[in-house]
Amino acid sequence: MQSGCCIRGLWILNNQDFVIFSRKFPVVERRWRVACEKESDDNFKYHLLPYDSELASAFADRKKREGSARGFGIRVSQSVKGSDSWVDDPITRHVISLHINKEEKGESNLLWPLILHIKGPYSILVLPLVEPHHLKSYSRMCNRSDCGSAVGADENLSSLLLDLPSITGAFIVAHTIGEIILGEAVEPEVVAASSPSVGGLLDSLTGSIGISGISARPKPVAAPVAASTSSGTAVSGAVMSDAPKMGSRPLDKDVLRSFISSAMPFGTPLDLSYSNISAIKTTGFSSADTPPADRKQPAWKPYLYRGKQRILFTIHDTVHAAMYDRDEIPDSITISGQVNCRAELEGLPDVSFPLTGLDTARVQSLTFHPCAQVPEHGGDKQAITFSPPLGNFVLMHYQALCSVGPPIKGFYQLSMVSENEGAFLFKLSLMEGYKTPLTIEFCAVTMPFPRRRVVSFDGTPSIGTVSNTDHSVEWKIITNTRSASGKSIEATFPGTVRFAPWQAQRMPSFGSAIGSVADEDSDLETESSGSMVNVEDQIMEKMSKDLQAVDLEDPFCWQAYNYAKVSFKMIGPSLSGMSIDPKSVSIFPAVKATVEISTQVTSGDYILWNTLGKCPVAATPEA
Amino acid sequence: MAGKLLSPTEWESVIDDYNLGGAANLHRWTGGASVVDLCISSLLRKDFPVQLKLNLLTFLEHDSLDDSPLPSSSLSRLIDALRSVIQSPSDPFALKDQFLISTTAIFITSLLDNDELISGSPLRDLVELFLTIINRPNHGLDRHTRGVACECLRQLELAFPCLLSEITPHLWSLCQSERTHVSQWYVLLLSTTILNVVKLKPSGTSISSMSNATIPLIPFSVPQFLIDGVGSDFVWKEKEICYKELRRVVAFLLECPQYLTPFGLVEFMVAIIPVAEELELQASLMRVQFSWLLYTFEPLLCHIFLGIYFKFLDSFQGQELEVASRIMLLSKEPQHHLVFRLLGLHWILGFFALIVGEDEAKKRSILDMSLRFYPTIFDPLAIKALKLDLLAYCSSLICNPGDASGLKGVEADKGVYQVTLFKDGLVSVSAFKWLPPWSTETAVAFRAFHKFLIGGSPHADASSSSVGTLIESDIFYTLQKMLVDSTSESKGLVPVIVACIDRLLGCHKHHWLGEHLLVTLDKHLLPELKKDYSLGSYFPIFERISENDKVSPSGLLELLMRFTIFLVEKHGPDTGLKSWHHGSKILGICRTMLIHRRSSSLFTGLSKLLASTSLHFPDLEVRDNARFYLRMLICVPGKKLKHILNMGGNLPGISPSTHSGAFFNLQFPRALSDPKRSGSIASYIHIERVMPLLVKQSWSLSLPNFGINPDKPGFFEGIRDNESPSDETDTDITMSGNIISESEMLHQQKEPLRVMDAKISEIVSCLRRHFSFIPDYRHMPGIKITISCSLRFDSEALSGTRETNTAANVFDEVDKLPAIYATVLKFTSSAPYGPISSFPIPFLLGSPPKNDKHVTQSDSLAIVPVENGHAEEENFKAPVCIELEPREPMPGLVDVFIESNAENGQIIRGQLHSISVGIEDMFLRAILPDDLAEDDVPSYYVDLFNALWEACESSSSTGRETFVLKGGKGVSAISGTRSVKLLEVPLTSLVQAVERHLAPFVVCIIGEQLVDMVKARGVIKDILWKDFSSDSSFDVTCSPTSSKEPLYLKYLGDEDEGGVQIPTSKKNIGYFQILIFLPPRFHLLFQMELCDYSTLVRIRTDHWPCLAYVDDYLEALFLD
Repeated sequence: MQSGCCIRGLWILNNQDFVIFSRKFPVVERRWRVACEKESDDNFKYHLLPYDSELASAFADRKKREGSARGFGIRVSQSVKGSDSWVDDPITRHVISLHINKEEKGESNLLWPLILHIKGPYSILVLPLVEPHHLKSYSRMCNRSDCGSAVGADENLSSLLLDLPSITGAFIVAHTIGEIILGEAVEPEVVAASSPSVGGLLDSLTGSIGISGISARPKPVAAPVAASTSSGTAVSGAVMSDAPKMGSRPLDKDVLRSFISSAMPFGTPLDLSYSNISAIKTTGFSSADTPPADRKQPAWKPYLYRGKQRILFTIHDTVHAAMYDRDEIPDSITISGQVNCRAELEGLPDVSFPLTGLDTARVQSLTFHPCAQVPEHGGDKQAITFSPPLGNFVLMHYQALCSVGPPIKGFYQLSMVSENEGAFLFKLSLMEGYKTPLTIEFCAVTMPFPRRRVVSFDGTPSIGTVSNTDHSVEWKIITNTRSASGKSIEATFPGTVRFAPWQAQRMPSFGSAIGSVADEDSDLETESSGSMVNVEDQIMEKMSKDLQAVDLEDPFCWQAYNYAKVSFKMIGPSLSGMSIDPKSVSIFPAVKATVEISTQVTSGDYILWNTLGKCPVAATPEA
Repeated sequence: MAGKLLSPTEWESVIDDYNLGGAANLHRWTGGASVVDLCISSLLRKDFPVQLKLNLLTFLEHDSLDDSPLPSSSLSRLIDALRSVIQSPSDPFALKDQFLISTTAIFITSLLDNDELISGSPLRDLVELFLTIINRPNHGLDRHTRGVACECLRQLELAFPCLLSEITPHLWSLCQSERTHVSQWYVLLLSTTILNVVKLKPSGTSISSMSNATIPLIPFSVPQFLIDGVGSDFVWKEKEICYKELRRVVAFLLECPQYLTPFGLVEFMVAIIPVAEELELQASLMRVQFSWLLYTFEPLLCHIFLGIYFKFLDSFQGQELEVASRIMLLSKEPQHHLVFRLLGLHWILGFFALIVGEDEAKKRSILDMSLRFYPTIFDPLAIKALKLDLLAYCSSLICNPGDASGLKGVEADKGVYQVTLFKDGLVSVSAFKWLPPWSTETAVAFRAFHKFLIGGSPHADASSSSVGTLIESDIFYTLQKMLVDSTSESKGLVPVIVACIDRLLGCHKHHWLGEHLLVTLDKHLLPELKKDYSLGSYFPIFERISENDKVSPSGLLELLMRFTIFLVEKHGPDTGLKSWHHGSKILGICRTMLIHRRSSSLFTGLSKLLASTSLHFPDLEVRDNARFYLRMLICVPGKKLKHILNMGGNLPGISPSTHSGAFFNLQFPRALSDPKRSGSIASYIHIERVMPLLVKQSWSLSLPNFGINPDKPGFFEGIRDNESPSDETDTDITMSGNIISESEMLHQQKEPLRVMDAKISEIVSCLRRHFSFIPDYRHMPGIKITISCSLRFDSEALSGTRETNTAANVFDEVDKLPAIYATVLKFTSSAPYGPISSFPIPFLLGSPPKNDKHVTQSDSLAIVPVENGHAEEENFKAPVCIELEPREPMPGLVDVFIESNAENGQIIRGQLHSISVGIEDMFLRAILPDDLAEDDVPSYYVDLFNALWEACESSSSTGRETFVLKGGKGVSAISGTRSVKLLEVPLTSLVQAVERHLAPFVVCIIGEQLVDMVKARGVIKDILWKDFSSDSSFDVTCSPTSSKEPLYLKYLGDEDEGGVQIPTSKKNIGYFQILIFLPPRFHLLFQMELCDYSTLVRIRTDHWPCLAYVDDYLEALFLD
């Protein structure tokens, strides 16, 4: 680790590829220049950082060359030598290079590694400092004339990335900036018994603003948080798409500028906690904010709590499942989860509790907040000790297998009886083998038909209500807790769904990885239709012909399959087995504080694949 | 301070302009004033909003990047401004902080470019200011500003190492006392200072003790060390106290990480690791201190841990698996943004590459992990791709030949294990088999396919020993089978497979893999394919097979043949377009083969295919093109053919669908526009007669004069009939004579009615028979004469500046020679030669440059060119036949125009030197009647000679007779003329000349002596030999003309007004009788009386104008 994480510059472009914000860091740039001059040769020399207009046009050029802002990622037939996709690595959709053409000199200068983070309508580019030999190495890689590197053997991106913490750091910078410019910098949700969720750090400080003296600072109010809509993003585990969302508010440059000047004054990030920084900016410090006498106040905890003491934990399981109902393919159910915490404790106490209840055979991974001290690979009786920061934070993440059977099982069958009509059948059993206090709060099943327009549907479910939109049919099985507390439920739903006539979609001119290889024979081969086995295959064939390529960020082409997605929320003990005994939570130095623990189980990607159709699978190794 | 003050809005524009295009845009705003000065004055104004001031500071920072370093005075002004802002109670902290930061940044960039300033007062003042700020630990309100000041000092220390070395003790004590959250900044400042001290070991005793500060914090002075720039060989260990103290400091610092932010920790580690190394701290201590980093979910902290891990590799011995599986978690946790999951996988790959080495145990433990690398269903495709990379890596670990067997789980067969890895891994993207070929799944699958394929032989591996083992390995077999199977199942994959093969073919190292795959496809896929319309999708593969020399073309040709048969059979009214489409594709393959392979290897199969296509294929265009290709295959030599077919930039493989129009889709060739060139085409393209003319004809009788003359009956009138020959006017406008003859069509000769005697009637019937076989050119093809020429061109002219290397071997040279293609020669003539058909030459090589001048340079080759030169000469000439259909036997000039294509697609167009046509070109043997027996030919000719001889007598009784020409429409009359010519040449040379030039026309030789002589020479055969006695009309002593015609002598006398004496005294040795037919219907008769030293030629003709040329001709023939 020769150098830490330094940023030479960062740029924010809007969706018209226009630079709307840029910041360069002369001190870091100066270091780069010195390093370059030391290693310069005929092919390599120092270039000034591009001006905004140069960078914008280089970005637009790359977009044109690589098909999209992110690029192909994988070497495809359109890839050209010297471009990112030539390197043939998916991460080149995130770590990009730009060729800056200096107009007056006619020379091209390679800018790498540029961290590309697309957030809302903005593209955020961050250029971390590397060493000249890294840049040379990348330049060789994207200009190599052979067929692409062999894994682990040839000069490759992996060893570069491993050698460069600055790239990792720059990603964190880019993501933080992304959250700030979209106003999405929110803290994880912590559910308290008294209210659905409690606020974050700023709530802890509310009231003190403008009122001098810590004595005037009231205890934190468990105020309802307006931004709770985004609470799921950090938790759900769903695909975190960075597809541009439109209609966001204009970029607040002053906020960003002040964040940057605090977080990385010279281009070296030191603290990226937006909530801390904005608290310091808005609140400042009063003379009453005295540091603790006995120990150092951590950098991540600039303020100390004052008020009624309590500690809240929220255990949140997210269930992912791929249900096949086929003999040859086993269902897969995994749970990912996290424990969120909010410690309203005075001073700088340590909190610890044992990690009981977690079956080590089922828990696949446990990772912790940096404030936690974990005994080095302890045995079964692991205990976690942590010094909590102010506000809401994620204490730990875990992944586990389901301790009981799947909460919803059964099958979904959809069969196309004609080109525009499908007969479907659901047969589900909910909460089978589940006991109170585990109750299901709501449960709904959605059949998405993104490529067909639903005209009507027919059929009555054994329980719940059905509604449809243009591209989906939704079956709400359970809408309130009381209706289904603590007993298993059988639900069936036979019916038919009618679609508007199929219309072939036009292929987009770009955006697909190998899109240009259109099947020129397609119109010549309709004669084979007579030989098709049945209508269904025929429709399949027809529909899969103009499927568009998905981004590499997607797990597979969702649109190629028929499936039903289950969403539910349960209250009660976690399915993963993660639990915290309030009595075993100890605080040092000892104080009297209430401990509140809540648990919720929600669905992530909980998919019932059409038993009669195609479905994506993955081999599960017999571990 | 020059220049006006800018208003806030003006500043906004300045900054925007600057960001967009740099300092160049600034001048119009500043008017040349110093940007810094303008900024400083604006910064100090109270009425400016704080946000603008912050902007200005950032702007100043940016500007310091590409502006020249600031002078000392500006820096001082900047510090003054900074001081006033810091001390002002009203300015907000945000502005103060930013001012501190920006000033530091500007100082660093300015001072680094200007070494002299380092020792100057501005830097000292700045440091002093910072020290004043930070020297108040735990102070409340401005604590954040203190942190900022620490960071500023740290940056100064980084930029000017050891700047703060002398005050390190103070920094340590400050660091110890600070308890607020900004302690991180103090810690970082201290650790950076310590790092520089440890690294650079500045001399001087001032820092010998960490605990006792010998120098006051303020006033600050820049250390001498920094000014002198000299380090010393100071060793910490030697100073025991110092060393201990340093260890205490480090021990203190090592307690801090828990208080640092993740990014703070990064900076901390950067500083502390080298110090720990220098102090030889126990690595296990580092491990204990920092292994918690691996258990956090912060990617950055994991990354830092890896940094420590590699630094202290030894102390982490045995923990590889643990570390790897922890990193693996990063990629599995769905809460992370995709990028960090990808990074985690990359780190693992990089991690493995670093630790594995030759260690078998480590390889084994990696393989033990392989089950965890399988992609899961909801993994994004990017993750799947990288996980497949990991599996490919495991696979390459197994197939490494040096590897011992006995790996856990691999016991049975490592090949099988490898295959399992591949197959199970690929399941996650198996939808590629039915999704459209452009799907991302497909791209990922084929990427994995490629990685597995080349895993065993990376590019970095220079040895080729692995080739054999790789081909025989199970994994390779499986890969090929998967390829063949999935391709035959879904034709949609064809373009992807082709792209994959292309990729391999384009690689210097894995070219052979691509070829091997093609061979496999040729062997296994081709027989599997159904011969129906679906075959059309596989053409891109065929294209690759057809252009690769390593794959035998026979299988493909056979398949195409069967496909052609299918197409022909299926052809119906509805399938016209399909047939054309597929037929064109087939021809495209044929074309590719022609381009890429040796014609010899293809000849049989391809010619069969092309021939049957050109015969049976239902589509006309396909048939035509097939014929073209067939012609080219047969006629044009290989390399040139390749060149022709490659014309128009149709690189093979790039546009497989344009083949059908290859001839027509060529970009329109530019005409040869170089005037220097086009004007002188004749100077490098030469057309020449094969047989030079005897008479260099410099004149010719112009036909118009002749035709207009009303006194002389037009020769055309004789064969006129009542129908107007309209077709001729259309076809040949250059025939002025014809036009004239049209105008005279009114004159119709009356058929005379006369009485004739037996002899005359015999003559007349002989002539009638003769004339009845002469075609009437107005109604049928006339009699043609052929002039053989040859065409050649100089290669230098077309190859331009291309150097021809005489030392290269001859064949190479031939390949380098330029060629012209599809040459068409067009002829016109002002002489009445009828329509002259143009002459095509498909292909002609340029004649190599004359080697003569090089011969002297390369003595060793002096002989070779001479010998080869002649033989080759013929290769560079194209025979050209000019066929004339004379309307009148007369010499003339034929103008030659060339139109041709050069290799670069240029059209060469222009006129060549004209070809002169002599009277001797008109000489033909008389037409023989169809029913004539071969044996009767000599006597027929003699009879005809005699009849014509009689008829051409000017006073002949046949003079008014008309003879019907072939076809019965036209009639002709004979109007004879006589002439004589005395040739004073020796007998033998005359006979030789006759033999050489007139032999075909000799019909009779009279006189024993001459007969013996000529027979003995054996050149003239199959004629009538007579002695004088056998023909009463001849007498040895007498003049050769018939004695019965006394008028002859008299006429002769009149004729030879020059008083040429007939050499009666000379002994008459014999006669040649020569009958020459002059197209279209005239005759020239010679009767030569041969004496020893002179010969009298009696000439009769029914076309008097020819006498003029005949005279020259005879002179050239015999006298020259």
